[in-house]
Amino acid sequence: MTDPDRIIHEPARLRILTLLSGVDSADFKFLLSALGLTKGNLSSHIDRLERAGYVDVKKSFNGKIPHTEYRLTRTGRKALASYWGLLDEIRSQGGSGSGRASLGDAK
Amino acid sequence: MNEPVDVEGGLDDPRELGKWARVFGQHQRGIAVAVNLVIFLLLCATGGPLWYLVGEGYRYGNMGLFWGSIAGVVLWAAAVVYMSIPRWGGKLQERIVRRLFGSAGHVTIGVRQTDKRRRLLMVAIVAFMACIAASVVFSFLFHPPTKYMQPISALYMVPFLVALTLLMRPAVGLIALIWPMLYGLHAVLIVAGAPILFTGRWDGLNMVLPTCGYGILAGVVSYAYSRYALRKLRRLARTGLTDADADAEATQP
Repeated sequence: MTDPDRIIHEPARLRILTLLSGVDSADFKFLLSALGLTKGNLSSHIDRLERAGYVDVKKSFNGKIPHTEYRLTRTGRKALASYWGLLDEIRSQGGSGSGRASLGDAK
Repeated sequence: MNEPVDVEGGLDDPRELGKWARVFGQHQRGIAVAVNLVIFLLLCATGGPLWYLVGEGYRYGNMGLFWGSIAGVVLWAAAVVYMSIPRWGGKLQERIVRRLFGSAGHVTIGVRQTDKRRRLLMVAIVAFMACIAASVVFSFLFHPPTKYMQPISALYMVPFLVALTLLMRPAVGLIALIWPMLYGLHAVLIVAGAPILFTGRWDGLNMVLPTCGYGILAGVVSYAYSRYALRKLRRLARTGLTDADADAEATQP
């Protein structure tokens, strides 16, 4: 069995990607308010995801206020789908719980 | 390993983070519609009395009242023009919405635009405009009782709002259908003789209140649902993740 993707296999990054998978794009403020991370943590995680090519970052201005939007790339979407698939496989082989992967599994 | 996230007594799939983010995105714009309609109502509510005062000032020869009201009407007309131009009024509305309701941030969900969908949208808008024009002509020619103004408008307003909501899917949630549903129900109640009619000088409210009132209600309900989605999202996202975990992960290579 292949190893899980180390970039995604961290709860905060998994949450960011899963959340972005449901929308076209989300801004920094939304990710911050939904995930409850600190600004520094969120920036650091996003930076890693961007370097891996999983997230696309678009910076702009709303008047004089900087505005940053994040979008899941096609690569990111594929990686996330295969990650959840792998986690489900592991859980079904273990036969524990509900057989569905949880966010805590990434710990 | 942690167990699947238990939110409000039920076992939720963590992949529902995406689902709730989507629900939030689909309904957060409801408040922008409500703010838009409130501004429209305020403009209606100020314009009517100003024109009334102009007439009263002229009738009773009170030039102070007359010219004061004229100045008010000029300002009111300028406000109407300003708010009607998307570049100015649209931006102002956007700023109001962001300032009052933007604390949770913003997500976008695009409408999958196809040629067929674009054509249908255009047909719906043109048909709606034609129906408005036809109903105005009909009113001038046949003077239908005031009682039937809203029910007649419901014949085209309800299909238009339903079509608009469906054509804007998935960017707009189905909660937006509250507006046409209540508008249609209002029309049925009026025809059935329910005592919900304004008469005399207030009869204009028979159109304004159902149009704006149900629109505002739908916007507020939609926004409330987006807040519920955000609450679910936060619970789901924060379960099993401590600050220490987040710090540790952020520093990992």
